[in-house]
Formats: sequence, structure tokens, C-alpha cells
Amino acid sequence: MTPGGKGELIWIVEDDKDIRDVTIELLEMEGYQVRAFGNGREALDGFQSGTPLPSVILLDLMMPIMDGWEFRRHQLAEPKLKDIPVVVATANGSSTYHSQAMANVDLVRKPIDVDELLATLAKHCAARA
Amino acid sequence: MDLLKPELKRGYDASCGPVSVLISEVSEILSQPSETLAGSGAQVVNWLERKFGGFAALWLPEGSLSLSRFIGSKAIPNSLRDELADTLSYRCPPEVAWPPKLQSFDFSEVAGLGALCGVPLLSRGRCFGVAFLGGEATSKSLTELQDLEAIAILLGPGLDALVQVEKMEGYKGRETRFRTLAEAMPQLVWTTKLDGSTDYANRRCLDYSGCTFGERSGDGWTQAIHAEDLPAMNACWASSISGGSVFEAEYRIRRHDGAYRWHLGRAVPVRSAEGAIQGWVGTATDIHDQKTSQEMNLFLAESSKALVSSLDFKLTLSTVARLSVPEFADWCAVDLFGPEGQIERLSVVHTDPSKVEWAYQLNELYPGKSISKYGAAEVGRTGAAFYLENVTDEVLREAAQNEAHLEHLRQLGLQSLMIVPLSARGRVLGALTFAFAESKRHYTRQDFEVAEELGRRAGIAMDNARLFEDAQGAIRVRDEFLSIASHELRTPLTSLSLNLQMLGRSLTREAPAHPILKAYLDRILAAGKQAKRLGGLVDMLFDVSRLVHGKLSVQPKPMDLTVLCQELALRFADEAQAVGSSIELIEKGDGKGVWDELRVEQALTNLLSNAIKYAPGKPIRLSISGDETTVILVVSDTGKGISESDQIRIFDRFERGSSRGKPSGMGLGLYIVRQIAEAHHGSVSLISRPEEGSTFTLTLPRGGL
Repeated sequence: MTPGGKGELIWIVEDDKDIRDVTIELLEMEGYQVRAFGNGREALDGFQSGTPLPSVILLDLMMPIMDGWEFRRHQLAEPKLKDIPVVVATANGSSTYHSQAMANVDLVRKPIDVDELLATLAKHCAARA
Repeated sequence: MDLLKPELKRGYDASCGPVSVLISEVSEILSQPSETLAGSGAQVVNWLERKFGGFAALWLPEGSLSLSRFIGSKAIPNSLRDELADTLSYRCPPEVAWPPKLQSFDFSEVAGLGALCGVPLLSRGRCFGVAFLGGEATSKSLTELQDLEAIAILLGPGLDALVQVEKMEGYKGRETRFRTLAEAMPQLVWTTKLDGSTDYANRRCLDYSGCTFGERSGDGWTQAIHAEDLPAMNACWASSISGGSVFEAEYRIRRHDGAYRWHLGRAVPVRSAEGAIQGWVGTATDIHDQKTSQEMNLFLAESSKALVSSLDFKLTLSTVARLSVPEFADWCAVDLFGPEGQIERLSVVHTDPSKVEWAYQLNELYPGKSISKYGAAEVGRTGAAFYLENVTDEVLREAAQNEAHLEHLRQLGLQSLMIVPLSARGRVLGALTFAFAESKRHYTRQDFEVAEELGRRAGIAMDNARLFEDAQGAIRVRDEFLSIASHELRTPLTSLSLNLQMLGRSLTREAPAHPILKAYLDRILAAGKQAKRLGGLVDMLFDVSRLVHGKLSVQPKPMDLTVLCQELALRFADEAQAVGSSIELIEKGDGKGVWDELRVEQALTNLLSNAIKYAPGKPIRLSISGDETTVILVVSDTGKGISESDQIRIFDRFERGSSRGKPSGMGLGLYIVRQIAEAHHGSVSLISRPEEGSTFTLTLPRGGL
């Protein structure tokens, strides 16, 4: 079984409530702290209102109001956010994450393989530790 | 030659008087100017019978008026005439000089004639006939015969002259008959001298060309020949004249109104009795309608070819318009009707581009929505074609929207007009307009039929193109649906899968303490596996819907394929083992290069899954090798193999080897492999023999894209 977290904070930016809820539950079960947002805008608002910065951002791409690409552009433009690693959960295969902003993100494909997701998160947390 | 038999010397009748009187009487008869040979001959016969009694007759083999060549010989039975003529022909063959000494002879040897004596009729040193005297009751005396011989000296040249006149008359008669015939014939008829210069042309020739004979004679007629046809015709004519062969050529001749019509010209040499060519008699037959019908068929065939050459009907219709000018029209326009009845002028063709420009301006100034009954709009409304042989000013006034428009229409100089609908399955899709202007030609019923046929064919071509477009649209909609559906499916699948996985993880933790949970865990893991498989299928659908549109893009990054192969060999080890197979990895070189790792992984995954699926229990080999520029990945098995017919199509969409037992999957895997290979400028190939296994080779250039 893949190693879990050691209380690191993960931001989940995901518009689908079911996926969001089960991911929160899963990550919490695996020893992470989680803050969840329904879209990119909400995440940026959370940042503005002083939500603690995460170790990793788990980002969905296709979301209403502010999608993953736009969030990523804002993130890269914000000095306090730009170095936080991003794991993109995409439903669309490799073709949709092609863009300059998405050049340095990790990718997990939907439907998400939990082991793969946990391994990726652990890798980034370890790198930042 | 025997002289007269004794009985012929009997019964001399001296009443016929002195020879000098007889001679003057004969010359009187012969000198009547208006007499024909037949008429004069008959008078001579009557006169002889009066003077000598019995009966008289003339045999004139060169004369042509009497079939039997006998004149006044009622006493010679018809049944004997041929026999007598034969004897005479033998005895005094025409054109042979008669013996210098005048000889008379009797013909009693000809059975049934009784007494008959004759004297040769001589002229110009030859015998050209015989004068007879005969009759049972009036056998001729020597004196009578001598008188007759004396008369014959005069009678010979006199009758010869008449024979010559008759021949001349005959010639003139033939000439007259020829002229009469020539004038009555529906063709153009002419004769020429030996050198080919015209010396006669029938009335029709002159009427057709609107020339006088003076203008047309000599070689004046060649000026009416179409300039394009003249050189070939001249060559043909020259060759006929020099070689004496029959002349035959097709060429256009200008009519009095300036229109050129196709004719078939024929001329045969007129020869003398000796065979020398004396001149030519020729005819020219109007074959314009047949010829243009041939040309029309050719035009139709070419247009049809253009129509089926492409599904871009706007392009093909423009081509058809171009093909119609200048042979079939001076102007050709193509209008398309929109669903709301709006008219789009697709194309206007004229040999002069500046006129085309002008026509477009005109169309913009006075859009075709006019109420005119002579416009394309009307054809669009009624669906019926029409043609105007003559575009009169009245027509223009009716068509014009205002005075300025009328003036523009007049400037076009339209002579004749046809508009036919482009229709198919009861819908009028557009209209073709053909017009004659500068060339002063006029459309015929035949042209109209051709135009209608062209409209029908073009309509069908348009309809086909639209149906094709619709079908393409339907395919697009389907693929878009696939794309959206696969995306929409993935969200609940993700949720489902995450829940199952989370449940699985919880149960795994709890199971050692609660053995009953082990059974639930197995079920949940099985459900998770199916959810994952479902996710894979949805992925594929999505990939395919993108691939169809050539949207497969790759994100190449530096990577090591050897590492990837190691990971995959490890990952598939369990799956292979489950069906009794094994995966052997062979590394024979450097695997570094620039590729989209996820895509290459996807391709190898598809190949390995296939090998496990279709070659259960057999070893599977995954090898990586390469040279400086290329990496070669090979997945081979020793399974059932793929038949040759399947090999051809196995990389196509929704294809699956037919001999591979139960179908499973959607037949998209290898299609995706090929697309991925091609997106990397590489390739995938297959070598397979039934029952021996399959070898898939993925060749990928190292150097990025």
C-alpha cells in the first residue's frame, strides 16, 4: 500500500461535488489535511482570504467560472503560489493539457488510480520536506 | 457482197421522176431547221414510200431516240428487229470506214422479211446507218436502187448532221435535266471546271450565301467558309483535284445572316468517255443539326465528367459554365437558390473578363429578385425551364426594373436566351442561364433540350454533393457526441472508481481483524477492476473521436523508452501470468529520445494487452532496440496469428481480427497505436502468419518532432 501523508495540506480544486467529497475523505484517511474549492476562482479567493498555502494543488481542468488553465496562469503570476507543485486530474487524456502554463505539472488521468495519485502526492511532499 | 436478186429488179416504177428532182425534194426535207432527227427521219421514210412504193425504213444505230434504232419501219415486225439489227451491225459496223465503192445489199437472208434492199448511209467516210426499201409487192429494180443510192449520198450527211444535232441535244438535254435536278435539290449544288473554279451554282447556293453568282464563282465561294475550317478543306480539295479522287469534307459555310452552319461537302469528278476529268460536280449538305448534336453530346459528356469530378458542386458548376462558353453560349451564369428563396450568383462566364465584371455589377444593381418572368428567379419559383429564340426589345422592356436597367439590358445585346432549373428530388436548387449575344446566334429546340438535360445532371450532382455534406455533418455530430459522451461519462466514473478504491482501501485495513470483510473486499476489488476497464473504454472512445479529426497532438519530452518498457513488463507480468503467459523483455540499445511518454505508453499498453488477450499461454516478447536516429519497439507473440485479409485493415477504426474468436473490445486499440506512431512521425507494422504468431513493430524517430 502506498505511503500516505504526514499531515501535509493539499488543495483540491474540483467542481464535481461527489469527486471532491470522496477525494477529501480519501486523502484525509491517508493522513493529509485537505482544503477543497469548487473552481479556480474559489481557490484564488481562498488564497486572498489567507487560507494556508498547500504542499500540493490537485487541480481539475474543466470547471465552471474559472477553469484549471486559467487558475494555473494566475498561480504562476502569483509569487507566493507559483512554486507550489500542481497535479492535474484530467478527463481528457494528454491532448488537453498542452499549453505553456501546463508545461510543468504532473498528470493523473481520470478515472483516478488512487495508488498513482497517492504516489504522486507523496513524491511532491517529500521533495518539499 | 451479193448484188440485188433478180426479183428485186422487177416492177420498176418510172414515175418517181428524174434523180435531180428527188435530190432537191430530199434536201428540202432535211433543211427544215426545227426538225428533230425523229421528225426528219419520219418525213424521209414517208417520202421514200411515196416515191418507191412498198415500205421504207432507216436504221440509225447512233441515233438515240428510237429504242430499236429503226425509224418508220412499221413493216418490219418487232420480233425481227433485233435480228436485223444484229445483221446490220455485223455488216456495217459503225465507225468503220465503208468500202470506197458504194455497195448496196439485200437482207432477204433475214428470215421472214421477204424482199428488202438497203443502201448504206455514209458520212464523213464512215457508215452510220442504212436506208431500206422493201415489200413483197414492190421488189425494187436496179434503177430504183441506183436512184436510192443517189439519194443516199445526200441523205447520209443530212441525217448524220441530225444525229449529231440530236447528240448535242441529248447533251443539252442531260445538261437541262441536271440543272433542273440541281435546282430542285435541297442541297447546295455546284460544278467546277477542271481547275476547281466554280462555273455553276444552284439557286439554293446563292440564296444561302446571299451572294450573286459573280461573287461566288471562281474561288469566291471559299470566302464563305469558316476560317477555322478553310485550311483543312483547301488541302482536301487540292488533293482531290490533283488525284481525281472523290472530295469529301466537313466545314462551316456562312449563311446570308452571318450564321455559320456545318455542311458535308462532296464532289465527284465528271469524266469524258475516255475517262479524262472534265470538271467536278459537288454538293454541300447541311449537317449542322447532326453535327451540333454530336457536339452537344460531347459537351454534355464533358460537363457530366466535370460534375462528377468533385463533390464541391460550386466548383463543378463553375466548370460547367466555363465549358459552355463560347460554343454553347456567349454568356453563361449559374445562380443558386437559398432555402429562403434568396439568389446567390455563383458564376458568370464570358470570353471577355471585363464584361463579366460588368455583369456582376449589373446583378448587384438589379438583383435577380425581379418580378420578371424572364429571370432565374422565375425558374426558381416555377421549376420550369424556358427559352426565347429571339430576345426582342419588348422582352427587355418587360424584364427591366426601370429605364436605366433597360438601357443596360439593351447594351448586353442579347439575341437568344435559355434558363433551366437545377433540380433534384422535387427541389429547385439553382438555375443555369445561357445566352447568345455578340455571336448573333439563336437557340433551337435541340439546344434547349441539351440545356435541360444539363440542368438535370447538374441538379443531381448538386444533390449528391449536398447529401454527402449532410452525411459528413452527421458523422461530425456523431463524433462530437462521442467526444462529449466520453467526457460526461468520465466524471461519474471517476467518482464511482474513487469510491470503490477508497472502500477497498478501508476494507483492506479492516479485513485482517474481520475475516467476513474479506469476501466484500474481493467483490469491491472486482467492481473496481470493471470500473477501471470501463474508464479505459471511455478513454478510447474519446481518443478516437479526437483522432478522426486529426486532433491527436503529442507533447514530446526527453525520456527513456527502456525505462518505460521495464515498467510495462513489470506492470503486465501479473496479467500475463493469469492467462499462463510470460513477458520477456529484451533490451538491445539506448532508449533515449523525445516522445510523449503517455502516448507511447498507451501504444505499448494496447499492443501488450492484445498479445495477452489473443495469445494466452504463449510467451510474449517485448524488445527495444535502435540505431542513432530511431528506436524500434517490438511486441511479438506466438499465438494464433492474424490472417492476411485481416492484416490489411486491422489498423483501421472499429476493426478487429475476424479469426480471433470472441470479439472483445471495440477494435480501436490498434487504430490508436497507428495514430500515436504517426503523430511521432513513426510507423507501426505487423508481420503475422496464422498459427505462428504476430509481431508488431513500432518504429519511432528519436529526435523529437
